[in-house]
Amino acid sequence: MKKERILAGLLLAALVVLVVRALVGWPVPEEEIIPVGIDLAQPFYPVYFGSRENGLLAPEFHQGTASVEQVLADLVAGPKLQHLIGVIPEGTVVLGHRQVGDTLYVSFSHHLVTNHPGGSTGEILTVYAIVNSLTDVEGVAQVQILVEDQVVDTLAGHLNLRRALSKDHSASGSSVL
Amino acid sequence: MKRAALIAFFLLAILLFCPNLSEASLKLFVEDEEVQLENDLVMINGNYTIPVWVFAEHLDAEVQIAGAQVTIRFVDQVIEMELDKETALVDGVEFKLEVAPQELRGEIIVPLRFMADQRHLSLTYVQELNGFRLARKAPRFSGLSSLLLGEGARALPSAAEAEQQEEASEPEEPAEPETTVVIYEPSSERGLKEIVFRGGPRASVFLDLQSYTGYQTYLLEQPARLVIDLYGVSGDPPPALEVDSPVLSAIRASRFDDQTLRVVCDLKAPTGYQVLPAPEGGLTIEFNFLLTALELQEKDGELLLSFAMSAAPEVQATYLQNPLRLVLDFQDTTLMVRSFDVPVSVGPIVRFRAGQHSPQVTRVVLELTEPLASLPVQEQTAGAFALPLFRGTAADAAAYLRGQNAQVSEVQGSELLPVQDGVLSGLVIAVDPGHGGSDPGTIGYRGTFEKDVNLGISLYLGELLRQAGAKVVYTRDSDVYVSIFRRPEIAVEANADLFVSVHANSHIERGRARGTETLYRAGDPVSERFARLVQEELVKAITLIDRRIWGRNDLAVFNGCDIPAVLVEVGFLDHPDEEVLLRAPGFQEVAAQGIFNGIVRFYLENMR
Repeated sequence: MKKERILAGLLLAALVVLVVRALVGWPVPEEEIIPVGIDLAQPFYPVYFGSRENGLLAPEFHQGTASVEQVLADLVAGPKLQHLIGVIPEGTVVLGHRQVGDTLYVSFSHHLVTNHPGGSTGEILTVYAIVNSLTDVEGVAQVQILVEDQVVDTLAGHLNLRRALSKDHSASGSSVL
Repeated sequence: MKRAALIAFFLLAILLFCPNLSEASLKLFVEDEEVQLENDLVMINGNYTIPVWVFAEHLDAEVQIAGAQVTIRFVDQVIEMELDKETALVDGVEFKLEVAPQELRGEIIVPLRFMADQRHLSLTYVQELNGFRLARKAPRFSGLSSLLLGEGARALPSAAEAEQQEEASEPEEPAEPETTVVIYEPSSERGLKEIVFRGGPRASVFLDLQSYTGYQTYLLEQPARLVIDLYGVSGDPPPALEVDSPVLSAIRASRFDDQTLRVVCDLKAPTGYQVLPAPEGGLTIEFNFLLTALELQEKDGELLLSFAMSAAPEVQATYLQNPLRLVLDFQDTTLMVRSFDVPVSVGPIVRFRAGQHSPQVTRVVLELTEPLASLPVQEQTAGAFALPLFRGTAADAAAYLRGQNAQVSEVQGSELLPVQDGVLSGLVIAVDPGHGGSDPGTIGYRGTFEKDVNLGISLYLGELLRQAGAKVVYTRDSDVYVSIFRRPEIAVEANADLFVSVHANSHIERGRARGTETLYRAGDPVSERFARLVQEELVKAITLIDRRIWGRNDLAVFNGCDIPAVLVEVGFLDHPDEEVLLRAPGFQEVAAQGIFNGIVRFYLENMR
């Protein structure tokens, strides 16, 4: 159901862009229609990174079926697209994860905190890149971030990480740098 | 309850079944020297700890352990802690600790970040070494990581080896050197064309280099000299230079090996320095200003701190309580007189001390019986300066200065609302300077701590609110750590009507973003109106990019606090241009005025 919604949304967005191009000849780079070359007929999933264009989150689509391990590996590896920014601080490794009901607990190494640049903007990007990406995995509705296997108050002094977080659509959108 | 049980079960399961998940054997370096740890560094409640003996063996401290009492005594600072207690006394001032000192595996461990902050040491994680590095903050380029990242890096002599090699040509007593290493990419043109001594208020030496692959510096004592090894530099050395300067007497160069040219600056006394690569090529070595005399004076009821220097340095003032102290940090300054700590009776000053706090900073501390604040430095005669001391708090001094120069706000572009006295009477406003103490917040390109910017703006804001009749409740009014969840409780306990949290921002890609934004509790239309007015007035005052207002339901600082609440991100500290603004007291004052104007508008339009 979720994948069908994403697919429908993508097709609609592509249609809108094509209509705009047809009407006003507005040049749209290929990557803005479909960020990476994926076969829409085959399974694919989004991984969220920072956008250089607007300072918010943007999805990069990967071919395949999303699994927690794969999405975490994709997040740590960083984006393939040039206009996106990695959101996981350097040196961070995933120590483990476990799902209880629809809540996914993910433990990161201390680098997630110690190498994070801080700022509410930076913190929101990192936290919701993780949360928004993982909640697109089947069966995961919320994510509890742990650091060195422990619940922490916050990552960089702004967000409440004592509790599990749900997807935040407002972290993706338009803004100014 | 069920969820808590599930979380507990999950954590227990992780601990039981995944004991080796955490990264083991983190190393610790002090400057570039590895500390031989007997046990792994331990993380408690998200905070790394450090064995207390490291301070005795590597950071010139005397450590005393008497029962549960742990005392770490530095030349200029005494830090006292008690085992299993989450408080510490730093020169008599109480600080809250995120983790209590404790005994573990036969060692006393103390919080690492707290100690680094108190000693003004940078604490970085060096990925290549899988370890933390504690270092003095002074040099602009200090580069163990740069060394390791540099391509074509050659095997560099250790500091001790360099000392030994230096002594091979000059039989001198060895001293503990201070070392800086930077490596650059190799280039084709190599040679030191000329050594240029630049006099003036701040002595500097320019090395006219066509190119080099890296350099390493050593500050040596007995006799005092600064050694700069230039790597990848060929050709003959230029002739030695005799100079007439209070800082140095000669600069000489010699070939060390076929790839290394050694430059030695003979100093009159060991002094701080910075090595700055010049944009057009070459290296500039800037030496500290020299502080040669310090005196307290009282003339016609006016208090002055007089001092003799070649030029007026930047002086950063911090006001501390218990006991009352005014701390004055002279930046890029070396104290040329002996450190002292003497009782005095000059106005409200009862104790006067000075010392070299770090290679770049001379610290003067005045112990007080009533508040004093510093005003801008005035030059009296050539080389003689006075720092007037104002009887009152920093906010009083700021108000006094505004009275002295009524055009300040106009010049800086802030529009003052026609606020009559007492317009906010009866209102209780919680002002929350973000971060603090062991939590510096984000750190700017030039090393500015967010916590200091937030506190500066908040204190100015609090003073404006008080003048308008409001009762102000600070979540912190000095450089202390307060838990993010304790902050809204303080507001609730004070029956605050409004909550304003002051922050400076950072993007995940440093230097990427700029501008102002205000966050508010999502789904609360009153907070949204409050945020809109604060954002509007703040942007009008400081004229940075108007990013957005943003409703959030996940901010810890709004937790359990249902009054109109905003979190203001004044600007991006990680952006070099905005950092310059954010660290300037004048800009902080204008930002406070903007937030204040927003609060007044919100009150007049929505609460009265």
